[in-house]
Amino acid sequence: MIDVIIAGSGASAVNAAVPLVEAGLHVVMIDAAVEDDVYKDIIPDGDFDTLRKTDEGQNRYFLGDEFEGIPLGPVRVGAQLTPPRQYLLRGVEKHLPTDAGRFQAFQSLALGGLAAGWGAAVPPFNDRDMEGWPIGRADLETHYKRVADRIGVCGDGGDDLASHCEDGGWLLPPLSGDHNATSIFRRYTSRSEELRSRGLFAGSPRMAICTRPVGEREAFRYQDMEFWGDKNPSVYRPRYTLDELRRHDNFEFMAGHLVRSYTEEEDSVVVEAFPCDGGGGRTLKAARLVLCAGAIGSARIVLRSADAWNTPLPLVSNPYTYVPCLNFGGLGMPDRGYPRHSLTQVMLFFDPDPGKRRLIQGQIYSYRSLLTFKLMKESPLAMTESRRLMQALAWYFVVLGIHHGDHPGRSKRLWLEKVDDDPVLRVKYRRTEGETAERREMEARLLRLMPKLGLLPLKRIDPGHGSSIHYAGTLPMTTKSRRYTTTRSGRLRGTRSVYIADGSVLPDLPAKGLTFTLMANADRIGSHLARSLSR
Amino acid sequence: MGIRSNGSAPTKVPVDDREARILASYLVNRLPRPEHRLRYREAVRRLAIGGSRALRLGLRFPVLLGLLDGGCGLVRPDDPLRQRLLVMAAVLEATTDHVEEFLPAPRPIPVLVAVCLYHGVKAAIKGVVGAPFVLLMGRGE
Ligand SMILES: Cc1cc2nc3c(=O)[nH]c(=O)nc-3n(C[C@H](O)[C@H](O)[C@H](O)COP(=O)(O)OP(=O)(O)OC[C@H]3O[C@@H](n4cnc5c(N)ncnc54)[C@H](O)[C@@H]3O)c2cc1C
Repeated sequence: MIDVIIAGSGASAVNAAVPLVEAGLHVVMIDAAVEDDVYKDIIPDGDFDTLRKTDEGQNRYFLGDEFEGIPLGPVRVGAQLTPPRQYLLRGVEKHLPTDAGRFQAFQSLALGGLAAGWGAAVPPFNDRDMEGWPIGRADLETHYKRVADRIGVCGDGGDDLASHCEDGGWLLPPLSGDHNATSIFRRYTSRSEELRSRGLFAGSPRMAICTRPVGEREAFRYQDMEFWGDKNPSVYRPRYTLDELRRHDNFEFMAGHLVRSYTEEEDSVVVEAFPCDGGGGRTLKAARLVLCAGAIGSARIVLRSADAWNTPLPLVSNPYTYVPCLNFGGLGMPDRGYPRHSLTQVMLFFDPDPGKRRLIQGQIYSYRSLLTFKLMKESPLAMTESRRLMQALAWYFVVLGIHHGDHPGRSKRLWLEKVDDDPVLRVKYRRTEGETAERREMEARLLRLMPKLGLLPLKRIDPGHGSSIHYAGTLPMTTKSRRYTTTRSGRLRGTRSVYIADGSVLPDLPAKGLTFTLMANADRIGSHLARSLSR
Repeated sequence: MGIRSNGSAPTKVPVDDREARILASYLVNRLPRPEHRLRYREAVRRLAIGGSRALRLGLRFPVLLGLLDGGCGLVRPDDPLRQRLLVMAAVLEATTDHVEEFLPAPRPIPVLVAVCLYHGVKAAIKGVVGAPFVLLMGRGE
C-alpha cells in the first residue's frame, strides 16, 4: 500500500513531500501538472537588453502567438503573467469551475502551481504575525531553516528589515539593487532614524533567489527576464524540488490527474483521481492523504468528499493596492551599469503602531521588462507623445505594491454548490467598512512618507478583492474542536488520515507574503507525519 | 480559458497595408518592414478590434490623426483608433528595428525636462483640441 498520497505539486506540496520521502516512505504525488509547451524553448538565454536588440523572434514571446500579450481592456489581476506564463491558467475553467463574482480566485493547474510564476518574496512570520494561532515562530524555526536551505533565500540580515524579518542565519547575500533601488536606499539611509520613528522600515528584499549556487541551481545572473522565462534557474520554482524528489525510488509522480474526493476506511484512505484529458477515474489506497491543492482547491476536495453542499467555509486574502510612482530622487543619476532584474528592488514595512497588529508590507519594483507600450496604454495622452514621454520617464518609473493583513469575517466565504448536477465553487467576499477605512488610512499615511524616499506617487490603483493571489484560512488550524478545522499537526478534524498542508490551515493572514510560511508549515506537517508513520 | 485577453471572433473590419503604413508613420515617423506591417494586420484581426468614425477619419486624413488620437485619449480611451495604435506600438516595440524608439534610457536632467515640456505641451494641445471633435463625432463605425 502507498504510505502517503499528496494532492498538488505546488510550493506546499513539494515541501511537505521532502521529509516524507527522506524518511523512506512510499509517496505518490498527484497533479494536473500543466506545462508550457510553446514558449520555453523559443526564449534564448540572454538578458533583456540583448534580446530586445538582437532577437528577431522576440515578438513571439513578448506579444504571444495569439497576441495575448497585448492587453486592450483594463489592467487585470495577473497582468504580470506574460504570454510564456499564461499556461498557469490553462485548464482551470474546465476542471475547477468557480463563480467568484468580483473576487479574483486565481487558481492554477500548472506543474508547481502558482509559484511557477510567483514573485518569490519570502519574509518569514514572527510571533506577532501568528498571534492567536495554535503554533508560533518556535514551531516553524527549524522548518524555515530547512526550506531556506532547500530553496535559497537571500537578503541582508543586518538591515532595517531585520526587526520584522528575523532570520535564523539562512540568508544568502542580498540582491544588488538597480539605479532606482540605489537612489531610494540613499535617501532612506540619510533619514532612516526619522523614518523608523514614523514606522517605516526599508531594506533589501527577502527573496527565494540563489545569489550563490544552491545544489544544481546557479547563481542569479541579472538578466531581467524573470517575468518571461526561467533560463537562469535561480528564482525558486517548486519544479526544482520536484526534480529532486523524482530521483528517489520511493517517490512517484502521477501527472495529468486530479484528486476528486476521498473516503476513509478503517486504517486507510481511498482517493479518487481522474485524468484531465477524459477517461475513467482511478482509485488509490494509502495510509494518509495530504491535501496541498491550494487554499481554494483543498477546500473544494474536502467539501466534495464530505458531500457538503452549500456549507460555507471562511476565506482570507491579503488586500492589495499598487501605486505607480516617479522616482524623482533618481533623476539625473548616471547609468553606472547597475545590475537589473524585474523582481522586488526594495522591501518596506510600515508599522506606525507597534502595539497593534496592523502593519503593511510594501514592495518596490522598477518598471522596464514589461515593455513601454503597456505604459502608453495607461496614459491619456496622444500615443506619439506618450511614447516619447514614457520612453524618457520609464527609467525612473517604479511601482509600489502594498499588501495588508486579512482576518476571516461573515462576508468572506466560499462554498460548493450543485449547478446542473456539476459542482461549482462559489465565493462571496466583502470587507467591512471599518476594514476599508483602516486600509485607506494606512495607505494615505504610508504614501505621505514616499517623497522622503524620492518617490512621487502618481495614482492609487485597487485591482479588487483577491488580486494579491494570496489565499488562506479555508480549513484553519484551531485549538477548538470544530468541523472543517485542522489540528496543529494538520489533521482535518473528523478524519483519521486526511491532512492539510497548504494555505488552508493558516487562520488569518498578516500583511507579509505567505508562501515561505506555507512551505515551512508544509515541511513541519510532513515531518510530523513522517515521524508518526515511521514509528 | 482566459488565455486570449480580448474578443473572441476575428474582426471583419478590413485592415490593409495602407493603414499599417499610416499608423506606423504617425507613431515613429518611419515605415516598418513589410513583415511587421503584416504582423500588425494579423494582430488586429486576431484581437478582433472593430472600427470607429475616428479611425475612419484618421485614415482618410492622416494629418488629423494627432488630434483624433489625443482627443480619444482624453474622452474615449477604448476607441478602436487607440486600440489599433496600441497594437501597432506593441508590434513595433517587439522588433529589433525599433528598439531605440522604445527602450527606456537615462537622460541628463535638462534633456529630460525639455522632452517632458515639449511633448507634454504638444500632447495637451492635441487632447484639448481633439476632445470636442471626438465627442461631436460620436463612436459609430
Ligand atoms: C504572479 C504571482 C506572484 C506571486 N508572488 C508572491 C510572492 O512574491 N510572495 C509570496 O509569498 N507569494 C506570492 N504569490 C503567491 C504564491 O504563488 C502562492 O501562495 C503559492 O504558490 C501557493 O502554493 P500552494 O502549493 O499552496 O498552492 P498552489 O500554488 O495553488 O498549488 C496547488 C497545486 O495543486 C494542484 N491541484 C489543484 N487542484 C487539485 C486536485 N483536485 N488534485 C490534485 N492537484 C490539484 C494544482 O495543479 C497546483 O499544482 C504569487 C502568486 C502569483 C500568481
